Amino acid sequence: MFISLVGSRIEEEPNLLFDKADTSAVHPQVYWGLRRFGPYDKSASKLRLVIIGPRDKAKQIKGLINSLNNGTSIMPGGMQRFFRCTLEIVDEMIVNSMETQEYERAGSMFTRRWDPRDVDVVIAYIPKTSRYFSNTPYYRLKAILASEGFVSQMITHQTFERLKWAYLNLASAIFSKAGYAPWVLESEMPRTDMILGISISNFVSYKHRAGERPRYIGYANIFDSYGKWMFFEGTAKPYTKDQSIEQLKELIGKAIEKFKAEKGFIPRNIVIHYYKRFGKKEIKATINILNELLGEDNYSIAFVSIDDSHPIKLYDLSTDDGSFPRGYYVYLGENDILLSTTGFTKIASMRMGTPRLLRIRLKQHPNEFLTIDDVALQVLSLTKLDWATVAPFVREPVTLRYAREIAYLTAAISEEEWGRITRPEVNAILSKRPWFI
Amino acid sequence: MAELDVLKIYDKFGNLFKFNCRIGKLYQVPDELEKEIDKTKTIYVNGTYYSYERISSIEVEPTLEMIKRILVKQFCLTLKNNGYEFKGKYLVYSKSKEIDHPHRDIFSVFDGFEFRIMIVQSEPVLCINPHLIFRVNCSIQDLIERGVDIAKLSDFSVSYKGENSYGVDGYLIETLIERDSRTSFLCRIKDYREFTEELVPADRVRPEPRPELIQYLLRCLNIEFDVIKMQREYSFLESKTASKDRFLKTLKIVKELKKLFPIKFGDFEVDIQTEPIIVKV
Repeated sequence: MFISLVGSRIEEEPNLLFDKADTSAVHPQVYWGLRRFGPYDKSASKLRLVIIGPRDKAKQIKGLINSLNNGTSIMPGGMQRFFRCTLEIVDEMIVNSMETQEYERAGSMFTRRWDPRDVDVVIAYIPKTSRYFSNTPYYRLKAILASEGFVSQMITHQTFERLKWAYLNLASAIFSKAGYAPWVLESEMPRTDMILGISISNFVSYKHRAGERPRYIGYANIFDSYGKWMFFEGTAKPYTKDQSIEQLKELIGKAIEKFKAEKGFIPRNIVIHYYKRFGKKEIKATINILNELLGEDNYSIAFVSIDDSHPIKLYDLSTDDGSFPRGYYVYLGENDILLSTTGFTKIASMRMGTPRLLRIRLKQHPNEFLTIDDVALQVLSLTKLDWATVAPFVREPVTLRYAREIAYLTAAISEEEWGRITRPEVNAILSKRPWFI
Repeated sequence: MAELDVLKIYDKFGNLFKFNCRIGKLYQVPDELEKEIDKTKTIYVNGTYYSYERISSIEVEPTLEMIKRILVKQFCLTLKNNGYEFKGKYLVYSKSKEIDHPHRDIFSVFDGFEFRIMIVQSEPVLCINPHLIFRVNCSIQDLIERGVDIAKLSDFSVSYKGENSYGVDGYLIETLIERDSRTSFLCRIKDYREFTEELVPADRVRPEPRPELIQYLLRCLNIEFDVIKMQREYSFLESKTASKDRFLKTLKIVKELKKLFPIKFGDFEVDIQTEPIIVKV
């Protein structure tokens, strides 16, 4: 007796919107959308940059910034055409060596010299190091800058080796880190007001084998119904056993308050994305806090766990490489699917390896307001919203991708630095900019 | 239906393989026998031990969860009895599948697999995925003796044998010369579980078997060898038909595992289908 799995597919790639005021500025691909319409948020005019790096590299970065302003073969018309703004270098700090301590010295000196409100993004040239190591110029400089409210974009020799496309990725990262949205989804995600991508009490040092410090901290990235990243929220309390529930309460409470202040309405249909299965305690605590904040019958919540740590693979031998196509999914249970986000697709020719499928499980309370098929579409849509790249999509939804980026960073940030990042005056700057991407 | 036919008729598959089981009985282990029983014959579910041997008169109709657990246990035992090694709970390799390279004194790579036993549509299935497994063959002390500067032996994960425990994972804060000695070294390690610091002799500490870290150590030894490239090659990442290659490799692994079946224990008899699960979209 054979058993078979039944699946479904998302017929069309979700479209992206490239103008706040013009609903026809739509394209399924980031590159062509930016080239044709410019960014979603057209309010930026000049972005102020500071360069940190060795003398010869600082010169190289200046050349790169010039090219971004003037245009390249891939980016004709430069920043003005693609992002409706220009880049201006307002200062540079020279490091005398590529050692971590030298970057720490330069970073500290820079933060004493400048006010974060006067600099949009710090561009730093650093040596290429593995994410595996935490005591590196990348992590240390990023931590020092962030703890004083500065947003940074790191550049390595690899950036210059693959400059053709790196220009546009860099431009998008700088633009979004300066606080502007480059693109959002064209269509609102149905019956969804707010999506939270959370990571709680994540013992990053153990889990990711990075850093010597325990990192039981919580953070959430909040997205609106168009998949637009809105803000970041974190807790800074040191870990004690069973504190994760308290952190979850604090995060959700703060997120709802901030959402309400920014959007002018209370979110009623809330979706939470988490990289692993929700525990009973976490679900109960979330329901309790929502009951407290919104009233028992005034909201619906969907707990969506998105897990890629399983070894299940799906194959389609009718495609060139045998990959299971992007947007296809199979049902493992009533509210349990496996979704392919990186398999064969017409919008991208390059594929590396076998798709790592996302196992998506859904639980809702008190009412069911989304189907698992709605969730599949939401997750697929959110793979197109990573502002750090103009690639047509990434493997994970941006909700998890951003949480992962922060997880890596927190492994390298000291408790003192993390405490400073969550200070009100620093948080006011950083919480509205995706500084961690 | 033969495997070839399945591949001819359908084009979408999963790496899941159905077990054909004759489900036997399980027997609840009385409290007084818990300490004496042979744990290789039991499973522990919701605070109670169950054995496939008629150890008591309390006969139990196994639930799906119980079937899954007893299958996992007996499958693992069968693998171990047939010379397979484990890395963690689900990564398996055979020493005979070691990949040849010039630095086997420092690290080994095995062509292994990852597995899970799952319940799909109320049926137990075996999930198999090819997996490259790395192992480090030298201690921190060995690395120092081979000329690595001790200042470079810090800021990465290690596993070590502690005073009272084995196989502890930790973070190497620094490597130090033992007082009054020129040849003995100590590693200051932060234990990942307890997050306490301890000093461990360098000969009891091994770097974590991660390709990035192995690459770093080779560089410290002035050895030019691209570990990452090797990993990519054997993980099908360099292939233009990566998924097809992985799928065919999966079928090959299952065919080899088939030789271990049927697995018989108590009244149970378990076989495996070598045809993959079909996917219909």
